[in-house]
Amino acid sequence: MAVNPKKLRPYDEPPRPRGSMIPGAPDTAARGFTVMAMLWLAAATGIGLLWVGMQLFGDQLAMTFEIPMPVGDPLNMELSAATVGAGFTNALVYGWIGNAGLAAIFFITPRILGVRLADEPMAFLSLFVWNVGVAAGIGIVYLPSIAATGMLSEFPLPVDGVLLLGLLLATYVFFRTVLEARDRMPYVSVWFFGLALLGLLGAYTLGSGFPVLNLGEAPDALVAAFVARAIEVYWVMGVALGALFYVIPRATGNALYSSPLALVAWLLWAGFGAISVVGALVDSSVPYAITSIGNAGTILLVAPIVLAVANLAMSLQGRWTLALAPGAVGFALVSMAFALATVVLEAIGALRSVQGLVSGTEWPMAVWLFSVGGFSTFALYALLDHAGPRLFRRDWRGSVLTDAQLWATFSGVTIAGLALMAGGLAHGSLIRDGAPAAQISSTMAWFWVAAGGGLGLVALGGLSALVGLFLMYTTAHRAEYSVGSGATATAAGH
Amino acid sequence: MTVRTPIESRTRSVPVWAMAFTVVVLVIGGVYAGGNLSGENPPIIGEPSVDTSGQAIAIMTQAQCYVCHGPDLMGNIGPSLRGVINGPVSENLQALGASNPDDWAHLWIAGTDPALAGLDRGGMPVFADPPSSLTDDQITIVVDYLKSLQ
Repeated sequence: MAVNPKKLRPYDEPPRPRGSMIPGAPDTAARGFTVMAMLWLAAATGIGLLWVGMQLFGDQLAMTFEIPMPVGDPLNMELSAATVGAGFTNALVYGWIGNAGLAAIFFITPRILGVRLADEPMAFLSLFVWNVGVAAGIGIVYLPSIAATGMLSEFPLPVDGVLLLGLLLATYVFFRTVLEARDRMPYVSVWFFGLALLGLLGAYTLGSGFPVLNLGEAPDALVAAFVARAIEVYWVMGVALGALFYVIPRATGNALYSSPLALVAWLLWAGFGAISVVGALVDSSVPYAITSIGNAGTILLVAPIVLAVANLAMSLQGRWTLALAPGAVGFALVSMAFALATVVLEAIGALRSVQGLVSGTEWPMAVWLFSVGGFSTFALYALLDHAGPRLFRRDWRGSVLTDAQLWATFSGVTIAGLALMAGGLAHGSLIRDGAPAAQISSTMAWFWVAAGGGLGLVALGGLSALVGLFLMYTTAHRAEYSVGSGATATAAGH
Repeated sequence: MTVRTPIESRTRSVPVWAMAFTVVVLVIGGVYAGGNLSGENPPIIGEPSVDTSGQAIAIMTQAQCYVCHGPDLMGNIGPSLRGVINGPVSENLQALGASNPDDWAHLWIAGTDPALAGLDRGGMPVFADPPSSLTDDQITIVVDYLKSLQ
């Protein structure tokens, strides 16, 4: 019997299905991490510009505010080169690379393994928790009385707890997905992501837990240096390599040149990376030989990166013309170039004679910028260029903004990195010659101006990426990438 | 539904060049580690020690120290400056060295401290006064350098 809905009384209406507070549709988490990554990139580059300004006009720009507290003494908020520098590095590593890396993991893993992400709501929860932690931490680095010390270890214990919770949730989702897939030999990207997550989790746990033991300033500083290096080697490089190994075959439609070679690169990276991290332990309390073996590990790290880059380059065979057009392949190629530059410069910097000259100068920051802003950022740009239309279901082939993103970021990182590198060498030489502080700062100002210009271009590149994402979402036609058969999935480039 | 679209591999082996390259890098790393087993790391906390010997030599050249103490500071008209770290050698500086074991050399070079009253300088200029007019910092750099000489 037909029912006239207008005659239904309220209690006859079927109950509305109640949606979960935490969304669980496929790719929800990856989408969220992508958006947050772009926002953090814009924030990080903005803070980076302020940091360069602090180096040049520290006296004029430095400020201290007093924040009244309802209970106890007021808190001092300090805007100085040290605090803004900490804000920059943390926003770049935890905000940008952290979110973009997790977006890459949650986008790639289900597609490689052929299963849905296990517990998508949990992955979405990790997005929320992680970003709350990062935002709180970056706010607190400007409060010296609360913040901890050491590069990438500045967040206080409660914030560390929040970040660790977010990371634990993400790691749980990743490994549950891997286990559910029952693939005994998953594609190499999964191996890179697994170790990257475990490396970040382990390093971060050590960095936040060790100071609780109160063993003194020097042991704390040593552990902080160890943690910063471990995060760079395992997290920053790991997600970049995992993303590149996925993007290049997908964007070119080629097979990978050699899977066994990729696994050898993974094994060498895992092993030599662990040795390389020991090289960060530079203190009179650490036996010289131990630090030297760690430095040798940094030199050995050249091998896996060169093997990985060569493997990826050979996978491009016959599709090199794709590099000429802006897009995933172009970004990936720039990332590979920065990867080689990073490991070679790190190997040079690991030599004792070079270390003696450049230690405490701008050189280590320059190499770090090549690694984080060049190698990893471009790998994640490549992945997001490929994944963006699929995540947001838009028919989008890029625009002039993709060109701007590529060239502004490439020239910016190169200029800033080279300026800081040259500045580091000049600084080291001036210190060695016993030059007075005034002479050092006037000489270094020129290098900082160049570095500032470079970081400005990087900010412009990041802004182009953010605007590009917005335009894609708002102007492009809707397209369906979620498909039900293998043939169409291949056609869609999944 | 998520569909599996595996990424294939073009070759199923590790190329020989890759193995050869890895061996070469291993050898370089091994040679580096083997040649850097003894030494001492700088402290992680505090100011790193700065090599100011170049500056000390420049100051001493300008102040013409080498004229009296010899081009290798082994002594000429004036006494040898080697072994300053062990205390004064000259007879007339023994009392100064005993009363100011840490900074006797600094006081002696500057030459203006009342503690030096009555000491025969034997032609040694008062370097804190014109024409040399060395600052305290400059004298410290020179003394640190002299203490590093054996």
